[in-house]
Amino acid sequence: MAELTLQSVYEANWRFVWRCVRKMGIPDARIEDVVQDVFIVVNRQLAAFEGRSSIQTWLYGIAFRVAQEDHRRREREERPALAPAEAPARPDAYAERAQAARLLHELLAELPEEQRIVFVLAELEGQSPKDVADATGVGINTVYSRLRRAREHLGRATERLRVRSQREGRTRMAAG
Amino acid sequence: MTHLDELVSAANSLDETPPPEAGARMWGNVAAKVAANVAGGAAVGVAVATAGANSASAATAATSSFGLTLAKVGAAVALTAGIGVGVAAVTAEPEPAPVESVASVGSHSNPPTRRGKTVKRTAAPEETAAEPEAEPEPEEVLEVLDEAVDDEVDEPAPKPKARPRKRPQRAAEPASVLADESALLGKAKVAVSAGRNKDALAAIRDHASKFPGGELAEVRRALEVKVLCNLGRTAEARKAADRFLLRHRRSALAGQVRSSCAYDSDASE
Repeated sequence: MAELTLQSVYEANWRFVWRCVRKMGIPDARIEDVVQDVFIVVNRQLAAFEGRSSIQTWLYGIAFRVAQEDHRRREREERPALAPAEAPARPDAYAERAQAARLLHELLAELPEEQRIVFVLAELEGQSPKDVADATGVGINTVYSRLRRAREHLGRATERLRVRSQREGRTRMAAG
Repeated sequence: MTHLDELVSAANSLDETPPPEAGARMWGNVAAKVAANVAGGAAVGVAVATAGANSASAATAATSSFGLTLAKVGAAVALTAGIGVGVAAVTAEPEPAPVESVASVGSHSNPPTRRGKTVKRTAAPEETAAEPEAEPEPEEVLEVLDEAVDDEVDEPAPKPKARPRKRPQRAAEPASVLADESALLGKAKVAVSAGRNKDALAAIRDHASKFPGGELAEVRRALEVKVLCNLGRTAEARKAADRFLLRHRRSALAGQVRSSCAYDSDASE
């Protein structure tokens, strides 16, 4: 592996991290701050990076945690809890998509790490199963099975959410 | 289409390429934060360990042209840190680590030939350690700045050579703008340390007119306060300090500005 410096890692991967962070539903105004925080962590942990996974997998893991922290902080500062029913009164298409991304990110947090990264690389980064296998350092069959389990888990979770938000919607209509 | 698919496709529809200038902008901030952490003494140990490992391997680093411009970003970092360190060094324990790591961060991207000076300076960190209070700005930081200024003189137009080999479409401009900014402020900083405050002020004003909202505007505004204080122009320093705090209340440099001459009790008249 070529020598890794903060600069070389940054140069090769800042776009990847930026995209990941965006797809984690981080609002536009916060994206650059979050990306920067990711590389601050990278700087601290670079010496400990052992190359057991690809650098992108490693970066994604860091980005995920930083984004989660950012979500939580904004939640504390802005509003008590995330609920899909709390969509803005006049949702524009972009805000809606960002909200969906945010929701997906919340759901991804429930997955075991190894399933999450496979799902993200395959479904969100659009990488081929072969590339995902290379990136995560597992066999291609493992990639397929993790992807399947991740989809099952997320499918159940989104279904549960949908039912709940429908029920809440009905309750609200009845109450109003 | 399941609900999950909808979420995925919504997330994917957010996929856009980042603005090209974001790369250099964020790198400038990352490098500054890394240096600021080091200067502030927070996580010094970790940062030093990492930076040390990095600079060891950087000795053999291929010098991409992005690296060249980033070497100057490194200088900008040293500049930011230098001002911060000025305050930190007075109160912090006199350990050589901060200086060493600032120099290492700055030298990450330096080609081996340019690193000579920095490395030589860091080989004798006791200089600063021995007298942390005598000189508010560590000499090593100034050395890095000297290099940056020299570089600028030697190579007034690094851009043409500076085209990256592998990413020809990469926007080189933002990084080199940052380099220009840091060179200009580096000049100001060197002038301050040599007691040429009027020259420093001229360079600061030059920076303000060329890069009013530049990446290093925060550093410039803080430096301006200091220079105006040095010149005894407290009323102007006060205005400059107000301007600074209005914009950068949470800056790492805010403490320095607050404790400057601008807010001495007799300056309020």
